Amino acid sequence: MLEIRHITKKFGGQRVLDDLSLDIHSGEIFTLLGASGCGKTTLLRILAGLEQADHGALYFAGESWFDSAQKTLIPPQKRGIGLVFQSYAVWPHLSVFDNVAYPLRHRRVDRQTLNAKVLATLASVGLEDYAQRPAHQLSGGQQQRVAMARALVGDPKLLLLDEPFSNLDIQLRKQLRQELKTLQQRLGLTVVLVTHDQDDAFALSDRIAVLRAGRVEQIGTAEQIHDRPATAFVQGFVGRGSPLRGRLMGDRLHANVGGVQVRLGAVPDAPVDCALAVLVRPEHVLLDTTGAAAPNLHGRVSHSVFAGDRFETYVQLDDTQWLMAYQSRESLTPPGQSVGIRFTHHPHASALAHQE
Amino acid sequence: MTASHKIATHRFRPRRIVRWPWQAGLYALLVLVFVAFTVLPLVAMLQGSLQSELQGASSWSLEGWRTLLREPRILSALGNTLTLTLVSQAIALPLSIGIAWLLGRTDLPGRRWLEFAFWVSFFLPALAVVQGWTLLLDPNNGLINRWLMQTFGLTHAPLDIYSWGGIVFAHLITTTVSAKIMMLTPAFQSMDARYEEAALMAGDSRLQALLKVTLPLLKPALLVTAIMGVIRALESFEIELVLGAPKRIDVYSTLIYDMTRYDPINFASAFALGILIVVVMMVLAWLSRRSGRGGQHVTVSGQAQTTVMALGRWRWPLTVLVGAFALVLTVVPLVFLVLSSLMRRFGFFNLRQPWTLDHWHSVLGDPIFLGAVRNTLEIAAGSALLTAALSLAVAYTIVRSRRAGRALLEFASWLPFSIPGVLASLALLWLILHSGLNWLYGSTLSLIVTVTLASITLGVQLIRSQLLQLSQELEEAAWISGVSAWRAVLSIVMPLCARSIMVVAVMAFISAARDISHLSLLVSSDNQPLSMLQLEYIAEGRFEASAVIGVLIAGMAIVAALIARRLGYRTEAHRPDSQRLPQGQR
Repeated sequence: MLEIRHITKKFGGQRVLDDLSLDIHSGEIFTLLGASGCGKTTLLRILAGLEQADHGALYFAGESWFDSAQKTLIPPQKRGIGLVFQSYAVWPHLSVFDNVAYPLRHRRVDRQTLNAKVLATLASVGLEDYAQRPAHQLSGGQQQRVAMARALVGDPKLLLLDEPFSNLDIQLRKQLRQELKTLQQRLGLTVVLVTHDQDDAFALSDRIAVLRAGRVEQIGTAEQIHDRPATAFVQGFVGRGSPLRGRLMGDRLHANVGGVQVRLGAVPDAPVDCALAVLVRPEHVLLDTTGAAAPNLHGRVSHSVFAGDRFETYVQLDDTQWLMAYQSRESLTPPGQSVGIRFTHHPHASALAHQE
Repeated sequence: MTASHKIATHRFRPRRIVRWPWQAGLYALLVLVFVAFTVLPLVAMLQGSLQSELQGASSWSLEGWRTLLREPRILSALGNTLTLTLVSQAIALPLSIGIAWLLGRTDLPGRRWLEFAFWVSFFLPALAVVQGWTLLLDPNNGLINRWLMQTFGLTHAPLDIYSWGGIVFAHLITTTVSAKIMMLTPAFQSMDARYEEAALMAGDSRLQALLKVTLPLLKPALLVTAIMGVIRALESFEIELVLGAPKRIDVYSTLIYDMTRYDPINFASAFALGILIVVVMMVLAWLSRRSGRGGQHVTVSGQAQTTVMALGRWRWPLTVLVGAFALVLTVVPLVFLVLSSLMRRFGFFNLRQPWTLDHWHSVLGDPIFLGAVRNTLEIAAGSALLTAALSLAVAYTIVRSRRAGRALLEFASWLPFSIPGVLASLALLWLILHSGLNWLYGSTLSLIVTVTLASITLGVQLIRSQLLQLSQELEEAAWISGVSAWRAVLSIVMPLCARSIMVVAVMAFISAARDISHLSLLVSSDNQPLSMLQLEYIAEGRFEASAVIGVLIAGMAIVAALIARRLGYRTEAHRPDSQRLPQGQR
């Protein structure tokens, strides 16, 4: 559907996108996930035609949108896409209706069709009662919906979303995520979404590409990325975890952490016995006070932080390193308690980085 | 990686990357025309100063410069320019700082009304204000002089507006103080009160807080205001022309005027003198830009608290003082201007029938007057349109374009600021006479172009600061909607900047309607506007008739001030709170 080939973009000598290639399939929500400065917004703007890549090619449904070798470029006006900006870019001098009608007004659509189409689109985002409201009187969530309606009203072949929920509070964010997912499935839209927020990415995406320094680190479903990170960067970026110091053991499958063998996920490309940082997910750690099964590590509970639906318990290991574990209210361990630590997931941990 | 996927082989309609080539042509045209518009007057001056005409044949020489050095009036003219500027600025600056602080930072009663009075004063034409005061300070029959002579039994009039001191006074009551107050009050208002409060908490008195905290924080704004004041003072022309003539008090601008109007006509020396001034002005304009840049971040912060300071028992005495000063700038001269237009003879109160409408009848019934009204409206409306259109095009290009040449445009937009009106007039005259486009001479078009030079710098700056507050995404959203860049400007950018564009048009209109210096050497009897007719009446000694016209121009200026005020405009910059914008705009 959308083929991104060898896209390179520099801003003042700085390489923002580095020979980046991707395929986005028809009818999926594809998320570009990464920290700020990873080039994700630049890539989105190149897809929209607002920015021009230095090298590479871009094909949509067989049509060339951009090709540096052929010197072809389709301007944003002719790409037939919808885009929701992070700032929403709702025009403050127009009413809600006029904002949404704008893309149709310049297309010789007759009045009746235009009215019907705009009202139907407003209804689909839940703004049918706000049509005549001046746009500058809207709340953030309402502006987001106007921006969405404006992007959808022209029946785009591709919908691009730039951090669409980042300015909203958590409740509204959850609600709008669900609405977007429903809308996308009903219309069969192809969506490219840019975000730095894992929750957005996990809740919405069919597939996710994790970007780092203008390159793709990993592509996969939310579960694949979370559970089987391809690189140490993805491991550290996605989800939470406690980094521990250790040394790579001779079999290259285990790390020695505080004298205990910890099974690693991916095999690090590092010499045997080098210093290694490994990451342990808090949901994979079980604090055991009974001593029933043989524990992997020993430590003492320092304190717990209440996090709403769970507790985050901090444990100081015997060799003074820190480890965090999720605990339920029922199984909470009091401070000062000596605990055995078991890893409930196999492999136990993944290597983050190593020193020669 | 999925990059192994083969690239689709069928492609349709490949287009060349050269985007909108006609737009690039238009862009080049804009840069070219605008740079020519602003640079050509300077080139003309340089060329004019180096050419001398001997028996009809012109040749390059330094004769103009040499004659200038031998000119007997040069030293006194430059000396007067310097001393008048320094003295009037030295009085005006502390006065304006004090008043702006009272208006912007304290609980002075009626401060919004007082601010409006200074705003009106800023718009009033200098000649009208000076004439109103002449009725009071004329050495022969000025009202104040008479009263002083009667009360104290003096044999000579103690005050004389036709003097060096009178010129300083005239500067202070026209725009010198009011322009500074208009620039400084918003700076004081937007300053974060927490700094001052911290100083008070630390044990400083209010005066100490003002001197030790407030003024240093506002130093950039103060510097810009001071430099702009000097620039404006150097541009001054009509006050000196009218008040300096009886005692032959020259300044450089009246000297240039004389050199080009009376025999022996000497363009080369006039240009040479002009170049000296322009160089000084350019340095000042550059300094003002530089100090303006550093300042904005210091004083205006997004979450500034702007609580006002209580004046306590000083509240009412200070109100009376500031109010009296505001009256001196506005109501007093206007009342006496109206009175003088209704007098049988200017200043003669002891006639049996001192009041008459005859002058109104004779002026309004004069076909010359009707022609002048039409000319003023044509010139002012033309300049308003041209300034607004050109300012928008140039400001938009400076803000949005990624092409080379935008720096050139920005530089060019500042050039007219350093050319005093009389010099612009002279340069345009020279250009028209030497370009072979004789039909331009005395044409309304040439006058519109010249007075537009006076407004273009402010116009570009105003619209630019508004555009900087509009997120580019607002336009990009229109492009994505399938709308061309041109239509996006028309349907998104222009409506969102409508207020600034209107303000620029109103300012250009009134600046053209009251302009004298830019038009002084270009006007012919066919296209004489009201302002020049007023000057002519003064020169002929017909003060009553000139007062009639002064009243009319002042009326236009007050209407313009009201409109500009209505549009929510503040001199310094647009404040986002005047027009609440949603998150889409930064």
